Amino acid sequence: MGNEAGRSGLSTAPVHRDTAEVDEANRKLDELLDLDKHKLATIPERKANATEKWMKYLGFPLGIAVFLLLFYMPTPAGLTAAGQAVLACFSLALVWWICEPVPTYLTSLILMLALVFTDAWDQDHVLGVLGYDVIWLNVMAFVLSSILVKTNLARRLALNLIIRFGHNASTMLFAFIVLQLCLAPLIPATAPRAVMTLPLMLVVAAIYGSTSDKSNNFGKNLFLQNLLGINIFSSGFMTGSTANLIAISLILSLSGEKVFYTDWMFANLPVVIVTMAIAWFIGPKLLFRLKPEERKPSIQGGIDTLKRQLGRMGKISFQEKKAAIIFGLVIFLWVSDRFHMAWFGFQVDPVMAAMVGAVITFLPRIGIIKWNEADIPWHLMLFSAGAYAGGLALDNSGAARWAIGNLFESFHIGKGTNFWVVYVVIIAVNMYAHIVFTSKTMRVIIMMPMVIAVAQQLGFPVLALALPAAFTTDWVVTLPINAKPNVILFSTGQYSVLDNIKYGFIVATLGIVILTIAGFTWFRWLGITP
Amino acid sequence: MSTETNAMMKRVLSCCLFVLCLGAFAPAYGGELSRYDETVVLHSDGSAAVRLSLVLAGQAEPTIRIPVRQAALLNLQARGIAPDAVRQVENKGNYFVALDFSASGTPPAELEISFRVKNYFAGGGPSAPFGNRELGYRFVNVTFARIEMFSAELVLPGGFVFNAVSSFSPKARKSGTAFPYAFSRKDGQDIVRIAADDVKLGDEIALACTFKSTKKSKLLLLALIVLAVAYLVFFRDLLKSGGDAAGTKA
Repeated sequence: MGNEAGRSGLSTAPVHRDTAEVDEANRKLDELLDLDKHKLATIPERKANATEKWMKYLGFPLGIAVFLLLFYMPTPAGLTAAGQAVLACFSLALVWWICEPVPTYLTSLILMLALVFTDAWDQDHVLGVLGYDVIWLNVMAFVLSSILVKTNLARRLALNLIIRFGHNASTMLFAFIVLQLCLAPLIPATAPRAVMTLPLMLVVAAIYGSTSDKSNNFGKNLFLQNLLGINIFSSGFMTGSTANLIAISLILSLSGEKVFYTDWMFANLPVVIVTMAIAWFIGPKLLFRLKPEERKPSIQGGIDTLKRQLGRMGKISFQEKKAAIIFGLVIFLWVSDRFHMAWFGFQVDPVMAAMVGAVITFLPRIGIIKWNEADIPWHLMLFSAGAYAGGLALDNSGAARWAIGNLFESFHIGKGTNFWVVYVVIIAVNMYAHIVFTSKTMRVIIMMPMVIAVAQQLGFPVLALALPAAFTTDWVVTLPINAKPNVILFSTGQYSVLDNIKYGFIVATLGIVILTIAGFTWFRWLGITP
Repeated sequence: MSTETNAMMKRVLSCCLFVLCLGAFAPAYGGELSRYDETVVLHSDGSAAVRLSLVLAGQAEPTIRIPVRQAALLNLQARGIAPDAVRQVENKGNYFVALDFSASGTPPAELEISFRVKNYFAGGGPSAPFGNRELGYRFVNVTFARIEMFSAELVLPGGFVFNAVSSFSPKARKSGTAFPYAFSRKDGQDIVRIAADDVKLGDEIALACTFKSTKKSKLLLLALIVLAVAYLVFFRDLLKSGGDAAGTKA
């Protein structure tokens, strides 16, 4: 491929120059796509800009000040001492994750220590978080991702994707959003969707010049838009998550109102599609503006080089086929979960399905990689464990319930309050509640009876408030600890906690606005709101 | 009856006795209670003042027996029933407050019993790490009397705050109210209230929790202030151009 120019009958000097350029482009692309050089397990060193330096400098005492204020103030009524301690510890960690005076994984470790030393949560529970399914799924996700990267299957798939859609960054980002929309009804669990698409994201980001050690705004947009897509598209379908189904069963058992699959989909799918379309637009245009060099693959020769690269890869290799079969088996187990009991007599959990894939991956002779070749960012596993411990402690101590209950009460909703005021308050409280909960299920169990009780007390149709509130369940987008996909994607080091907060909070707020407009128009037309 | 059945019966009886010994109160009452409200006001010496309000419904038995976990109840009083109709009885090592309506004929619709108990919790000092004191409440309905609405409140002495709930029953459900307990504060005293509806034979309402003094370590406060100031002093170089990105180094 590289010598095609030479065969075209041009004079010798330009031929040599063209060949040299092509070889140089190929070499640079190979270097860029050699993800072994940008291992996730290695922590990159980044130079901080002036703002970041101030944040680091002031973030440390600020975190301590927030901790002292919350920990030493009189315990508010309705909150336990442990709940108060969790709030103080979590707030300290949040400030430090944002300002990064110490690395994020170290903040997580400090959070774990603080939880134990302030008697917020006991040691056994705190340490036990490292054994939670989200951590195991994270490890398995990176093992599976490693086989796709190692065998070059991820590179092949990503090159195909880019050649088809990647002439510019916008279409590339859009292609991923469409991909997540297509996967959402097929695979109800959000974490497997993140695991499936992660290798593609890594390679595509690398081609656009964004790696864990040198991320750029394309990488931020790509990973955060996928985070948004994975979570928010789940709310487009009633079966998008277990929490949606619990919300529906709560509505049925507490109010007698039945919601069907199509009711949910017709009402909310347009809302999430509109939201994601706006999110796709505002990311690269407003929040993380793409520089001109980030709008195209950062490869000399552009798409042509990528086409040549794909050509150079030749036919799909045996190792790639093996990787495809292993990954295909895992995906098959994820997709077919409802038939497991009938087929096997037991249920294969998404984590176990990923572990089946990992076991095959490491099998001597049959497998593909050895342990040393698996790129697992352990520092981020520790980040996840600590952060998850903080979130779980918020749930367990009742601090999250207390905070949300107080927030709800602060609006003084009572008889005579206008329906639309109640509607907006309920949507907003339900939407932002995800910031303090790590479990969607727990959030639904706590919030939904509250919403239904408000509707019944004020004499409003239950469905008019409860269903739009249920639509917000999967919008868990603001923090890396809000959901499993968030943890997995954060582990790539492509964006910071602050980046996540910025994009997530804005899109969550946008969601409130769109759900409110839908309440006035679309939901009213469908007969949901009065 | 076979030996095996006898052994089984013994095990069941042992369990029942265990429940009675540990349980706070359970009315031995053949009819129905529309309300059972209990308030336990704890004192820092470990004693407690217990107030029990019952609203009766249906046909009552001539005697109501309320099992209690302690042999000696101090200052036993009753309202809505003659004082001599209330007494404490012991039966095979189990203790009850017996309410005898045989003299008055019909039982009252509402009645209130109050008494004091010693050693409701370990009053000497912290019984668990981090200055915590353990506190347990358990109610098992061991009779056929169905209780429409049940509630129990534990009121802490001033200067103490609830720390954490280690276990509770009934468990959180995926329908209806998630948690049967809630914390509140009245006149500077922390209260935990556990409630349940439709408490039938064998149903258990229980709460195990810890509480501690509201005082907190001044040393920690001082240490953290010193740490924050020390950071501002020793990490000034962070602001210099080209300064190291502090902790972000691997």
